[in-house]
Amino acid sequence: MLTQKSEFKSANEAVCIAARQIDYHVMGYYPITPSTQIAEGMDLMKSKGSISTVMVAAEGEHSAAGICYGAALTGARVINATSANGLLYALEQLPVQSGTRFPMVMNVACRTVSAPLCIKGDHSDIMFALNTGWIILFAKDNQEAYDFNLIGLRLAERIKLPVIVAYDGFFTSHQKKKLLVFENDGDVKDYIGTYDAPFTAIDPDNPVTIGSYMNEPDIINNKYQLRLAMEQAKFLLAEEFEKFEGMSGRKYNIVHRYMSDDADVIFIVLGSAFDTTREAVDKLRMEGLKAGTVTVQAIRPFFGKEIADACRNAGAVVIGDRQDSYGEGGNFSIEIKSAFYENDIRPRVITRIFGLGGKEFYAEDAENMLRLGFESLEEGREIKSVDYYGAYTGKEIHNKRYFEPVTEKNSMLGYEVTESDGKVEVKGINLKKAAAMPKRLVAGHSACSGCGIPVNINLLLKGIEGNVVMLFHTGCGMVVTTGYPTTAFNTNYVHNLFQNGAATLSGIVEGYKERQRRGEIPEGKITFIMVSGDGGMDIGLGSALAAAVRNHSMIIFEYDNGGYMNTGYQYSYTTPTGAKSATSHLGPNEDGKPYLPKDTPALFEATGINYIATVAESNPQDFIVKARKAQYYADNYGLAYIKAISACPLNWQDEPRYEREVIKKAVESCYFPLYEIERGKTRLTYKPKNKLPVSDFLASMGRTKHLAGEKYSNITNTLQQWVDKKWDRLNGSEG
Amino acid sequence: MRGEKYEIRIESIGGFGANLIGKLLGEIGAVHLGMEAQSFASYGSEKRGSPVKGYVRYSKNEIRINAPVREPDLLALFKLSLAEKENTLAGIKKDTDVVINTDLSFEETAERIKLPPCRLWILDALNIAVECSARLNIVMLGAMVKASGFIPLEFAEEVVRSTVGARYPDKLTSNLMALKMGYSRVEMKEMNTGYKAEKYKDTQRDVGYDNGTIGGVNTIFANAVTNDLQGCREGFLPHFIREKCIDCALCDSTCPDMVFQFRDGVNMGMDLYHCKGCLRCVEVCPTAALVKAKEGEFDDNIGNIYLRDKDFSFTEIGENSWVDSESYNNMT
Repeated sequence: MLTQKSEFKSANEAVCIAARQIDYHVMGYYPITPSTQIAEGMDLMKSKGSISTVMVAAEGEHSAAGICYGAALTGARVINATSANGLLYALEQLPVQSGTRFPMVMNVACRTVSAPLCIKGDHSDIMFALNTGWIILFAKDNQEAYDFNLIGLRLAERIKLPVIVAYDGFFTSHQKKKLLVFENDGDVKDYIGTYDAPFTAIDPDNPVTIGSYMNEPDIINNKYQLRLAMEQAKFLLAEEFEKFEGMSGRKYNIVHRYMSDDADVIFIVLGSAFDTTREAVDKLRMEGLKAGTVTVQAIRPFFGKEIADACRNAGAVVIGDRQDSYGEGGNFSIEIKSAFYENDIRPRVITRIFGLGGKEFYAEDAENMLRLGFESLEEGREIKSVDYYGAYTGKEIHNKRYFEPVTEKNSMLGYEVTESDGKVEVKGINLKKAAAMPKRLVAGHSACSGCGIPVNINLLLKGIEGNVVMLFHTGCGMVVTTGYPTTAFNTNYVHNLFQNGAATLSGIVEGYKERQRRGEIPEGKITFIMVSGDGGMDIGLGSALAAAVRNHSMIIFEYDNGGYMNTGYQYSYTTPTGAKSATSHLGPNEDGKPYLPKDTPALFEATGINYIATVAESNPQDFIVKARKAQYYADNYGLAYIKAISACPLNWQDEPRYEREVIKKAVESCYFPLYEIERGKTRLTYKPKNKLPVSDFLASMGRTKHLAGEKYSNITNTLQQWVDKKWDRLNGSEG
Repeated sequence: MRGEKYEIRIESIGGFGANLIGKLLGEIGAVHLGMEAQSFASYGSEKRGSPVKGYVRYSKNEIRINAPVREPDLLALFKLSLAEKENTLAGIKKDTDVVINTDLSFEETAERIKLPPCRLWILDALNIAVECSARLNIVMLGAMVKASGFIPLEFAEEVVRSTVGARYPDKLTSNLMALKMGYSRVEMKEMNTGYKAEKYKDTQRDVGYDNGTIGGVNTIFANAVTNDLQGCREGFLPHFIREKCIDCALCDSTCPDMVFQFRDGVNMGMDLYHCKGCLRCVEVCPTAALVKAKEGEFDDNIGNIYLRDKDFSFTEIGENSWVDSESYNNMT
């Protein structure tokens, strides 16, 4: 046995330890709760020099999977981590990786799939991966997460298939517990050896074509190879488990049985709920009831025979699904039932869907499920075979109406808009007058104290008269306003995931117009506004630019706080160069965010839309005027894009109280210049009297104040040049 | 430790650093006491200022539970007002050690929060933290370690050294001082009040599958206004001096929480149920009509709420709006 030491770590942290010992070549990733800590932890190690893994933060999970695939094609060792919608967004790429037989390891901290959006744990994401051709190991605890990351890599490379290591989001990903890890990294290196890929895309002397165009009659043979590989994986996994036992002393049997051999009733469940169930089993055994529980350490390949064998003596089997296939129960229980048939056992089977969206699972819950099994064995007892556990009917509710909705009846403030010579003028707007605008986003949202998002949304909406439909991308702005059963919106509101908001709003606009044209809904006007953070403008940029090219009648409003704040601040493409973040640390081997901020308005300019503006709360009047102008353009000429710089006291690491001052410095330094591009013509709407050095802005935030020091002067200079170049360009193109 | 297992629950506000304390206590159990240990927090998105719960378990045997601590052996309240929230005081037993950060006396504290019989430990952690120029959470750690009766102070010192010391070496001395002060200043009294302990209840809403709109569509627009956000404040709030106000509405342009009530161009005052105390308005007010005030300094602070609607029943936002274990700010 190899030397091991005890650590007190969460599963995400345990995965980081394994990844450090393996020292992967490349990690392609996109942050998503609750798996993000893996990329964060690895970046921290990278900054300290304890790994040399190249960390590539993609603009979305689809690209992250692409980066991983590409790196795997070079024979490199590759890791990824994701959850929920991230897994679904990457899904298209998974059969590409397995279909061309390139190994890698991806950790999935399992989480509920949207909609409605929920960040907590269940298995609704991982079950989508069942048909991808990936091996899926399921770790019930932190120890297994560590172990399976090592075993998984070896298995992947032996069988030439990618491997997912799945575990429960939050319950396992975040709870710290004791585990053993190999003390000497060298031992892990010896265990995994080096990988010699049979094919790579980078060997000039042995050219290969990867990704053939293949129809019948060949594809069926290709798929049969994949099936054979899965079959073989069953044997290899058993072999690997045995080898690993020799090294670690930890025995994995694929099917983990607890008191099940003589049990009358067995509860089968995946993940962290298994350990909780063992508590219940002990309790029922004390009562003299023969209860047992079983879990499996892999769901692909599926060990149906082994599961059936474990249940051979049971009269009833209760299967807990933390996911539903919305028909005959979750995929796990559907497969187990089929395995029972296949292996000629016929226990009474009860499926219970439980613990969705992170709903707690107590030992009493496990006990209740087991008792259901015992009840089903009583003569004449009818127990529903497939049902939910923990859903409730609800009590009587008295819904109150708190406000009048904000419509054209109460939001026409008489702003004067005129158009002449291809220019739109807005008059009659001042702060005092705009204070009369009823709030479409009302008090009671749960944004952090001093947050810039509601400030910016309110300033925007002070400029918009009449009926409004809002569509929010996923992000802080959405999470803090619409936590069920409350909503802070006093107008129609839609959320969609942030790859797709602009497309969704395009559909709303066109559906509205067409229904109007057919006379199905009354004539009238609605201003359609999409609100996105800068994160949504990374992952959803393609969708947003495409909507702009199509020029739908809508406004895209971006609040840019320079980071993925909703997931705990990972850097975004607009984060200042050199800024600290959870995925861009400062250390001997890392200088914060690696590259220059993205100039999103310039990208929109290239789409040829008629109105683009930048706004800042430090210039509130200008902000409101531009909002009204954007509304005019959306009404008459198509898509308008507005971008605001938005404060995040939590992650900018500054005082909520002084945020307007910080924003002002961004404007006064021309880091965030205020301008508009009206029908292709650029006009600076604010020219600072004394242009501040960009370091004044950077020094006012904890995340960038180090940049004002001598050590990082090259980064600050680069940023200054970027600012100057942009400012000169804007000045030059004015008129 | 009295039995085979020992369970701790921490009640705090996002930003107070309770998560770090949970982690440190877990480490003490796992590494220094050589037990099985577990530590985690209530999870949600990464927001500051909302209630958060931390859970720690020690056991001589394998820990197989991953659900919240419902009957704590040690319960810590980083802020007294948290007691008003459901489940904060749930599961207190007669021998539970309850550590509370408060400047009130034993009796006043117990009466204020309707504390069930327990062993009450109190200290003015906020003032001690200020005194030591350290963080409140470390003071609370000292007090909790003392109240446990079995965790040696040296172990707490060691984990503070290896975490705070490693990240902020210049702040180590003051934090070690804070730890000791928390340990030595906390006082205990057995309270035999007449209040009954409530059982820990998982959230269950009035809306369920029978009466909930399909698809999670919310038809009750703008009902978030019933949320009471005062718990998010960290001791300060703006005070409005009407006589000095020129109705310029700059405050309304900077307030993230829609606190200011304008009618016909006139600033009618503040809806302080929704004020999180960010003081942005104080900063932009050109005539000092808005000034920084201490919570409770002006009696009339809260009265203005009725500008809006007398019939609101305010509910506190739940722990769902809070936080993760290792947000960026905890890590760096």
